[in-house]
Amino acid sequence: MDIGAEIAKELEIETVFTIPVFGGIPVTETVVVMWIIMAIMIIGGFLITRNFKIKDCSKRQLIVESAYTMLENFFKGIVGERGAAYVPYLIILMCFLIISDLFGVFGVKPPTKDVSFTGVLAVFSIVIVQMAGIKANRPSGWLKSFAKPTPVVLPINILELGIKPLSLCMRLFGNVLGAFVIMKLIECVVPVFAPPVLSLYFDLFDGCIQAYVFTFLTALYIQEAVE
Amino acid sequence: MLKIIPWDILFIIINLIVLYVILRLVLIKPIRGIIEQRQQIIDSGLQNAAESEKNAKAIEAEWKEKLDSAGTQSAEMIEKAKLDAKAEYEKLVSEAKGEAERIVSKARKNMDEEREKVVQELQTQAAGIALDTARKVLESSDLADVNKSLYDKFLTESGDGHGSESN
Repeated sequence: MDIGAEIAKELEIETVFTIPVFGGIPVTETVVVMWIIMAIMIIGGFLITRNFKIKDCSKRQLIVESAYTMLENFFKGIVGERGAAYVPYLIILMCFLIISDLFGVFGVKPPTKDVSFTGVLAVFSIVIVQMAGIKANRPSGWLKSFAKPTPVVLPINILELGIKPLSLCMRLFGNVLGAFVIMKLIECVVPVFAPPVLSLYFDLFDGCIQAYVFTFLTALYIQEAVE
Repeated sequence: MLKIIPWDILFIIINLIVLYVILRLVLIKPIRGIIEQRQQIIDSGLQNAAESEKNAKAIEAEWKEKLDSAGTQSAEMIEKAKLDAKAEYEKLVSEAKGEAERIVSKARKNMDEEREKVVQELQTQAAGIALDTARKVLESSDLADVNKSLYDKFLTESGDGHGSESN
């Protein structure tokens, strides 16, 4: 069988249904899966933060609180006190990426396999980074920061505006895509036993690593910007 | 494979913004709120404890001072009371002495007066008795001359006040 054609077909983002307005708005798999993830996160978030008390906390509350505190401290350690306002964004982003990468385990096409999705995320990140820079150093300070440490690097710094999000976008997309392609190949070669075991590595482990790397790098950029 | 659908991008952007806003409200806000509330309670508790400790120390110092001053005060009071008591004692003693002297002198005076009076009475009585005796003797006796001389002698003796024994 033609592995290449199958993989190419799998990679195609299919339109699930079309909203019959404005000449038909196509709703893709990515968007539908996102909606599912959003529903899970919002309902889950609502459920795990119910009945929070100041004293005599339940185990659930303790786990949620310590996990949140851990993540908050981790990101605060990177972005510093001046970037503390962006910590919730980073936490939500990380949770979303981990959950969406885990979706690959269930045979659903994760949104991260759609380059539109990773591209949007990367643009979001760079916009937030630049906004943080403008807010922290005022527009003048932000413009001057392009000429630091020496004016010679000005073109490189301007290029970075495009390179940073592109690298973020492509790294995430490429990793998920790579994992997906390898998994498909393995499924073709050894259809029994190997796929679920290796899926743990490529989907679970690699997914978490990529989610971590993406948010970690965003945090680093924010820290650089607010400095 | 790298096909980019504009509607797709729009949906993703909207989805991400909606997700961020809702999760901030549903997940981050309650967790942060509870942590902050707890922190506030802890902070206020610590502050209260510090304040109570300060107050307790101030009260302790005050009491110590009071105790010290009470010690000196009581010593002063005892001293004063001693002095007062001594003065009172001396006053009473001197008064008593005066009174005693007065009583003694009065008694002496009274005694003198009494004695004089008694002596005078005795003299008068003795004189009366002697007169009576003499008259009886003179009336009944024949030895008028002898008796007359005896009578004279008796009169002179008792008039001098030495005749109390013979009566």
